[in-house]
Amino acid sequence: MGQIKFMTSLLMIGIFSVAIISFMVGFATDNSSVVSLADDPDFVGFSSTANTELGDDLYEKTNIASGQYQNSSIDLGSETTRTGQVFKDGGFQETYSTFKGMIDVVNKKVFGGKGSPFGFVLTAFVGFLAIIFVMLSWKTWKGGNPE
Amino acid sequence: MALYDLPNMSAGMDDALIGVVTAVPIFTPMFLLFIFGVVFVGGISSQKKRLGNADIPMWSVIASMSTLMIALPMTLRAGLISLEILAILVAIVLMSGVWLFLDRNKNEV
Repeated sequence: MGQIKFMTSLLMIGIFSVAIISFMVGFATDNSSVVSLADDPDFVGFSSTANTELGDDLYEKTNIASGQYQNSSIDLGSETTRTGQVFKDGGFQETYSTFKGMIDVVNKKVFGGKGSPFGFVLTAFVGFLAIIFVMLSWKTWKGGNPE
Repeated sequence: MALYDLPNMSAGMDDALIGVVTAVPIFTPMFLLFIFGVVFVGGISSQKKRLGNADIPMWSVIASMSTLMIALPMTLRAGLISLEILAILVAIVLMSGVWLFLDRNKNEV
């Protein structure tokens, strides 16, 4: 998975999550549903946080990273691929934070969250996912091909 | 001896369904699981026949969203579906989305 697909995937996951939750809340509001997702504080909290992170912070950080790139220069004979700073500053933290927030909500709803009887299996699974995720993130930030 | 009292059909279909859910609370989750299974397994097998391979993450998203669409009208009346079941359903949709978007294979979406 290349850097562009990786970043796009994280962003699409965040947008998809917010869209689904917003649709459910909107449907319940429009039709005066008795059972409404708006009554669930976990989903509402996540959706609100993700809205801020993806709607405001990501835009601002991307602009800053873009400015860094525009103002940067490469000296003669210098290391041209020494850092993935633009990637790191360009909104990666926001997309990752949104992804983690969504996983936390799903974990709580489906598996009962931390301390549940199913905890050790889930901890192993999430640990495995985290290893892959951090490895992909680090390799992408470093500038290598995250394969 | 009847397993449970038959619902009153004269009050409408939704009242009869609520009567069934009241008598057998697992009815709604099992019904939604059936919908999910039909779309998921049916989609995978038909795509496999058509292309030779199946895009399982894509069918997971389609099946979970289809189930969510079926569940939406159930939220209009009290007693058909609980907030916990709805929350789990949304969580499954989100997990399917993660699976699809992080999938490395080319798909048809």
